[in-house]
Amino acid sequence: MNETARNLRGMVGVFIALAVLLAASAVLSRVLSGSLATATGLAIAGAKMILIGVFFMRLRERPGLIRLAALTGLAWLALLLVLVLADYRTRSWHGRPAEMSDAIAAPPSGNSP
Amino acid sequence: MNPAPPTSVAEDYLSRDRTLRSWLTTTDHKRIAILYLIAITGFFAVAATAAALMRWELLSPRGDLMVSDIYNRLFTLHGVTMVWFFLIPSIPTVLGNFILPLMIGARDVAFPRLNLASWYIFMAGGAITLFAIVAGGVDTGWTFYTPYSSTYANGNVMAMAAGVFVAGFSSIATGLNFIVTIHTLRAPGLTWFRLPLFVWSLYSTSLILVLATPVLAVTLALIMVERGLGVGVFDPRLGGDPLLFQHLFWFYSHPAVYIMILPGMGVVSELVTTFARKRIFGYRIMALATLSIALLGFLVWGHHMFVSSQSVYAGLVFSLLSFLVSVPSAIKVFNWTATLRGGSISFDAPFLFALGFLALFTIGGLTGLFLATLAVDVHLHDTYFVVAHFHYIMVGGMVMAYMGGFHYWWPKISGRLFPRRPAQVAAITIFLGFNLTFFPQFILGYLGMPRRFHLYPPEFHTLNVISTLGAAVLGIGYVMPLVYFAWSALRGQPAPNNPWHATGLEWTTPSPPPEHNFDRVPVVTGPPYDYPGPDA
Amino acid sequence: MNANHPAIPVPYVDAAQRARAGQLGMWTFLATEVLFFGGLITSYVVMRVTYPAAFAAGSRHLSFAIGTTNTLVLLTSSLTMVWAVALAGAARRRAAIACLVATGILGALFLALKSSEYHDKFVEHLVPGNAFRLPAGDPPALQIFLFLYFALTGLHALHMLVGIALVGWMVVRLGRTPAPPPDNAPELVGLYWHFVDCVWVFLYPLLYLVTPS
Repeated sequence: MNETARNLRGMVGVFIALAVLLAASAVLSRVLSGSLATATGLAIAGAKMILIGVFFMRLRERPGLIRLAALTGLAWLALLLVLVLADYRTRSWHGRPAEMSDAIAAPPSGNSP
Repeated sequence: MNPAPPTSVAEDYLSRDRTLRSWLTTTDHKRIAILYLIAITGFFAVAATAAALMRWELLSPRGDLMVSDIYNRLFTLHGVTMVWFFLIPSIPTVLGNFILPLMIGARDVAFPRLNLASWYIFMAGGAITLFAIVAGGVDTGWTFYTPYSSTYANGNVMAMAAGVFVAGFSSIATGLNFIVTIHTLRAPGLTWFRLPLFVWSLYSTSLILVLATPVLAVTLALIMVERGLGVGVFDPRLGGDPLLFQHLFWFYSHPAVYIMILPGMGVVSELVTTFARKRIFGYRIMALATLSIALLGFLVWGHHMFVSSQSVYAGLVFSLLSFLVSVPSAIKVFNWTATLRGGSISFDAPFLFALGFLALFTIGGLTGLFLATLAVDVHLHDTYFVVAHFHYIMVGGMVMAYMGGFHYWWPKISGRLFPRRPAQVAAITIFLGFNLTFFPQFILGYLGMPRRFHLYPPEFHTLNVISTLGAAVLGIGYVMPLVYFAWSALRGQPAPNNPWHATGLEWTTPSPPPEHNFDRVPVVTGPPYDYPGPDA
Repeated sequence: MNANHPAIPVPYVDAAQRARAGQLGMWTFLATEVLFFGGLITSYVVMRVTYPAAFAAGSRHLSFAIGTTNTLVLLTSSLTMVWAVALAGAARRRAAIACLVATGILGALFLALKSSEYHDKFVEHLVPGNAFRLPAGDPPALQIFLFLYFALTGLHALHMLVGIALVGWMVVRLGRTPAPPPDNAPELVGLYWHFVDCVWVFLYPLLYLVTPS
C-alpha cells in the first residue's frame, strides 16, 4: 500500500512538469514567431509526449519489445513525412514556383458571399 | 462418403460440431481459415469473371462487345476485388490462419475472438463493395485517383471506398493478431531463428498490414468526405493537391504489393525444402531478407508517380531506393535455387507450383527493374508492360504460391489426399496459360499499347488474341483444382499425419487437427527444415 | 485443456503470457493509430508548407483560451487515469472507481468545451462547405486549415468518445460483486487514454499556436 501511495505522489510530480510545459508553450507562442515558434511548440509537445509515455504509460518499466512497438509507429510517421516532403520541398528546384501562392486557391463558385 | 480416419473420429476440428451456428460463432483459427477460404474463393470468382469479360472484349480491336464505360467499370471491379478481397487476404487469412498456430506449437492465435471479428468485418466490407458493384459499379480504376474519384466520376465511389475502408480494419486485426501470436505464443525452445520461414514471412507481412493500412483508411475517408461534402485537401479547385492523394495512397499500396508477395515467398521456402528434402540454403539471410523487404517496401512508393509531376529529385531518390528492394528479393531467388542443388526432388503438384513461382517471380522482378528506372518508366508508364509486370508478381508469383501452399497443406486442412496426376496437370496448365496470357502483354506495352482502353489499333490484334487464348487456358487451369479438391473432400483417401514427410510442428498433429491442436505443448530442440539431405 | 486453470482461456498457458499478449496487442494497436492520425497529419504538413499565411490566419480564428484549457483538462484526466490504474492494481476498488469517474468527467468536460468551439465556428460560418463565408482579408486557403482543424479534432473527439465508453466499462467491471480477479484490462484502457491525450498534446501547437512567419 505504501508503494502505491508513493507511486501516486510521484505521478503528481510528472503532472506538474506537464502543466509547466503547457504554460511555457502557451506563453512562448505569444512571444516567439515564425519557424522558431513552430519548433518550440513541437519540441514542448514532444517533451510532454515523452513524459506521458515514460511515466504514465510506464515505458520505463517495459521490456524493449514494447518500447520498440511504441517507437515504430512514430518512426513510420516520420518516414511518411520525410519522403512526402522530399517531393514538395524539391519541386521548386527545377524552375517552378517555390510555393503555390495563397491567392491561387480561389474558392469554388457559389461558396463565397 | 468414406469413413473418417480412425485417429480423428468425432474429435477433429471439422467433425466436432457440424451446425452452421457453430461455424459462424467459432473462434477456432482453423475454422476461421475455412470461412475466409470460402469468402475469398467467391471474390476470386467475381474478379476473374470481370477479367474474362475484358479479355473477351479485347479479342477485337474495335471494341464491339461493350461501351467504354462498362469496360472502365469492369477493370475497376477486377482490380478492387482482386487486390483487397483476394490477394491481400489470401495467404495470410487462409493458410496463415490455419498453419501459423500449428507451426509455432500454439493452441490458437493470441486473440481468437478478434480473429473471428476480423472475418465479419471483412465480410461487411465485401458486402458493401458487392453492393457498389451491383448498384452500377465504379469507373475510377482501383487506385481512386483524385480529383476524378472525388469530384467527377459517376458511379458508387462512396460505397466502393467504404467497402475497402471497412475491409482494411479486418487486415489490421489480422496483422495485429499475428504479430502478438508470433511474439508471445511460440512453443518452448522455438527461438526466432528456429521459426519456419513461412512464420517470418507472415510476421513481416503483418508489420506492413498494421503500419500501412491505417493510412489507406484515412485516405479513403478523406475521399469520401471530399466527394460527399465538397471539402478536402485533394481538390485543386479548393487549393488542394491531387498528388497528396497519390502519396498517401501509394504509401499503403506499394507496401501492399509486399503484403501480397511476402507470404508467397514464405510458402515457397516451405515447398522448396520439403520437396528437395534439404535444409534451406542460408536460413538466416532468408529470414532477414524477408524483414528487409518489408522495411524497404515502405521507401519506394514514389516510383508509381514518376510521371505525375512529382519533383524529379524525389523521383531520383525513389528510383534508387526501388533498386535496393531487388537485392533481398534476388538473394531469396538465389537461395531457393541453391537449396534445390543436390536435393532429392519429387515433382508433386505443390513443388510444380513453387517452380512456377520461381520462374514467374524472376521475370516479374526483373521487369520491375525496368520500371524502377526513371527514364525507362516514362516510356512504359501506363502501358501493358506495367500490367504484365505486376501480373507476373501478383498472379505468377502470389497466386502460384497460394495454390502451391494450398495443395501442400490440403491434407492437413481436410484430412484427405488429393489425386496426384490431375493436380500436376493443373499446375502445368496454369503455368502455360499464365505465360500465354501475360507474356504478349510485355510486347504490347513496349510497342505502346496503353492500359485501360478497350479500343486499340489493329496492329495489336494478334498479340491480344494470343493473350485472350492464354486467359482461356488459365481459366481451365483454375477450374481443375475446384473439381479435384471437391472430389478429394468427399471421396479422397484419408491423409496420414505427415503425407509429405515434411518437418515442422504442423505435421506432428493429426490430419485434420483437433480443436486445440496439441494435446500437450510441444518442445522444440532443433533448427527448422531438419531434412536428411546434404546440408546447405 | 485448461481444466487446472479455468481462469486462463485458450490459447494462453498462464496469466503472465496473457498479460504480455494484451500489452503487446495494445501497443501494436496504438502504432496503427499513430498512422491513422498520420494520414491527416501529413495532409496538414503539406498544406501548411503550401499555405503558411492561411494557417496563421486560421489559427487566429480558433480560441486560444479553450485550446489551452482543454489541454490542461486532458493532462489532468491522464493523472486521474494513472491513479485509477495503480489503485485497481492494488485492489483498492472504491478509490480506483472514484478516479475513473473523475477521468470520465474530465473527458466529458473536454468534449463540452470542444462542442462550444464547434458551435462558435458554426455560428461564424467558418465550417468548410457550402455555408462557409470567407472573412474579409483572409486568404481563401483558410478553408483548408479549417477543414483540417475539423478533421483532426473530430477524429480525436471520436477517440475521446470511445475512451469515455471504455472508462465507463471499467467502472462497471470494477464495481461488480464478487470482484473479478485483477487483470491488466484497466492498464490497457489507460494506455489508450494516454495515447489520445498525446495526440491532443500535438494538436494543440499545430492548430492553436500557429504564428505568422
